Amino acid sequence: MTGVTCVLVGGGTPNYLGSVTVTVDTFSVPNLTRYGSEPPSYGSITPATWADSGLTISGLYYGIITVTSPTVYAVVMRITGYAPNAGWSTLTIAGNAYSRVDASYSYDGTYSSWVWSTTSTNPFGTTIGATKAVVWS
Amino acid sequence: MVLTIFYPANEAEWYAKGTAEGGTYFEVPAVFNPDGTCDTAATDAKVQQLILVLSMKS
Repeated sequence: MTGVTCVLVGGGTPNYLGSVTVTVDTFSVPNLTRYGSEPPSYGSITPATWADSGLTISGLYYGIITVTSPTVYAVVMRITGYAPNAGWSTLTIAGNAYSRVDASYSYDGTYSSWVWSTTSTNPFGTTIGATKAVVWS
Repeated sequence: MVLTIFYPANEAEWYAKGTAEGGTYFEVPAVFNPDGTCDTAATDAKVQQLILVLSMKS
């Protein structure tokens, strides 16, 4: 008797859909102010892992950069490790929706980052200690 | 700064892609002219803005 047994181990596309809670803090140096969190530097993100991808969320923040004119405002999502620019459609921060296809994406060998250039809407607000829901859908 | 950008041929391709100094790979939604060709100057500005945002360390 002959037979073939096929066993699949692992594989598949990681799930990037889920939610976290950001406890808002601020970081400021000359020409740069941020609101949100970049653990462990400031604020916190719970849980720390992005959905069931196994990747750590290293930053969710709104940044104001005044080193250039005009001032640059940006919403930033940063993940430790490689994640493709795919697998989710919308990032919603406290009810403010950001479409993935509108983001600039980068991977520098350490971090995967998505950056939305925005105007003046700070989705995290400026209240230190406030908690904000962040959802990937 | 060493910067390599591949511009989309048309709006269906959507993103400009390339690498910045240090080998950072990027994808930036391109800006298009009314005739559907890539507005390279405006797209370059978006790439530069991305690099600026990422370069500001906390």
